[in-house]
Amino acid sequence: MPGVCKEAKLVKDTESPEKVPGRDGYGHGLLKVCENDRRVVVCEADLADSTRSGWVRDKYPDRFFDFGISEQDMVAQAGGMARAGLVPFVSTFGIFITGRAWDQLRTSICYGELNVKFGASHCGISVGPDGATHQTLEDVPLTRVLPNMTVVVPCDAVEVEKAVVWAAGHVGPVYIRFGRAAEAVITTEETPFEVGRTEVFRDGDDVSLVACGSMVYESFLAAEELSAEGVEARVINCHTIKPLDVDTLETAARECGAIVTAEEGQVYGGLGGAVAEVLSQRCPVPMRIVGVPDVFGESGAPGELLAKYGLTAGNIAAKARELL
Amino acid sequence: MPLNTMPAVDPEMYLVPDLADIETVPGRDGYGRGLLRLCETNPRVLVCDADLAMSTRTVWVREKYPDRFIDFGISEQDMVVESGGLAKAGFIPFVTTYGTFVTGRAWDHVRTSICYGGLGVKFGGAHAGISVGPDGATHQALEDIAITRALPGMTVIVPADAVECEKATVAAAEVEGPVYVRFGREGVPVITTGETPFTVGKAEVYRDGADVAVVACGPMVYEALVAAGELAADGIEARVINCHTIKPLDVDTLETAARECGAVVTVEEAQAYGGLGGAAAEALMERCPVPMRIIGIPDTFGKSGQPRQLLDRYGLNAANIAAKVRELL
Repeated sequence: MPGVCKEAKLVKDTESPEKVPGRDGYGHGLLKVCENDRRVVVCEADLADSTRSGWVRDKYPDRFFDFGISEQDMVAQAGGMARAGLVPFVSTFGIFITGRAWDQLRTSICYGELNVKFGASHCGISVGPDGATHQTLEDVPLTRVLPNMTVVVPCDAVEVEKAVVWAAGHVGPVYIRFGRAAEAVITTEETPFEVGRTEVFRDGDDVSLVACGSMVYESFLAAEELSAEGVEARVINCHTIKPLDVDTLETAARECGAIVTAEEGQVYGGLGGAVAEVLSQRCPVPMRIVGVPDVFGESGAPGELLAKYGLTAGNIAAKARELL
Repeated sequence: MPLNTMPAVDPEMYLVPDLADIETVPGRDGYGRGLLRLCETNPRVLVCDADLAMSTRTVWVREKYPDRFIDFGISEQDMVVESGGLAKAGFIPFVTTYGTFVTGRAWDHVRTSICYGGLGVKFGGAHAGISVGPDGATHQALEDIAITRALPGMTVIVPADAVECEKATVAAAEVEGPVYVRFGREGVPVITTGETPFTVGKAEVYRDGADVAVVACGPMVYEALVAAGELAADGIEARVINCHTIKPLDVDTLETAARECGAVVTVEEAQAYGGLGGAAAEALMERCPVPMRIIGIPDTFGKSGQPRQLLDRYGLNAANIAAKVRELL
């Protein structure tokens, strides 16, 4: 793929990449940290098969706690586990962790800066048929506003695994967001990943596409589409929403003069909001924010829903063109 | 600093005549008065509380209209869901407790039981902001604007003072769908009057100026006016905008301000991430990008202290607004 940064060490074949659900990366990551770190325990709220925490239940049954459908209890008790020196990974669907248990996240975990990790599965509109109630679209604004919280939205299953390993070694609350559906794997073991640092995956000076999660791949495809028209887009994998890598974003704004953000979440208060807040204060340039346009989701096939809400390469490219 | 010595204050805003001689009234008193008015005029209005009636002023309804008042005890989540049922049955429930409990403890219920169905439940978020004071971090609602704004279908209002809070409460009953009205515990300067225009979704330009626009909500509108007076003494004319409705945002008024002033400072008694500042930045970066400063709590938990002490500590005052303005000029 032209323009791709060599240092990013992405997969060779971006045309037809392998597809793996983000939650599989979470399961792989949990197995890895359970093997390497005796402090790690995994908490679940009755969704072990869906979130892949079931892999830990099967292999390390004494490290696994199923709280049943009791997310608020689970979060508060994980705080106690952290106080006792364990490193709990609290897993369930993103909407249940951040929504149902928001107050516990804030007051029982973040206020005391307790060392609890949150694995949020089934995020984004691509959850599909389960519909609006289960589609986590507000979790990035909800977690980003919490003091002391780190918020990571990895771009594929390989990166989710890396984020889990990083989180186990980091002291303090971490929220890791991933999806249910199989998504393109574009990174490799060698792709650099450091929480708090965004990675430029493709060079370009005409516009910057700043994306997280599954929208990184879509931004890539958008960049190819734009490149065919002579527009060179920089593609930035902004996997850490908080703390935001302000310097890389400012450089992108300065050098490209236009920014499009893309995320599988609400347009208000998420990645786009975070970038707008920072750039408006550092280097204001014209922006477009691509996300779910302040509506609830609905039931449908993942691809169908992504297309309906404009979470596609085509729409990202269209928004970029508006700025040129 | 008398307001009427600031030549650019718009007389059609009918603000109080003198900033130096000003009454302070808690926002929650405005909420209580609004509820009383509604109960008197609208038989569909009910008031729900979660064991904080004295603090939130719903006690005024309990005493005068006991049959219109339901105390759920410390059961915020139940209260929200049941109020959804009341709305379905044709009532207009005003669900009242501290802001952090209604938006935080019951966020999932506000989303899935109320907003998803577009139910006409009104939320009164009391004790919002850092000025809650001695109760400390757990009780200071600082994230409520960010987490209600992300909800589809929710209207979010942060009135500037008690008089406006009364208007917002009365107006909420007429707004279709869910509404969150945010107000504080402490006495804050009353700058608006009965005649001051208030329309949900419309930001009001209180003071004209073309050097910088200060976009504020809640008690920070008063601080912005004081800052404008200070800046005017230095020859800097600041436009002061009362952006009481965070959602839906009055994007046109903000865009005009950005275009005409070329610089925007936002200020709110809430986290600097995701609130009024975030909403303004999102809108302006898409419509008319200009240099901005966002004043709010800098991504930390609050602490126990006297209201004024805390406001000063986190830079929620006229002096800091003026300082941020100067950075942009």
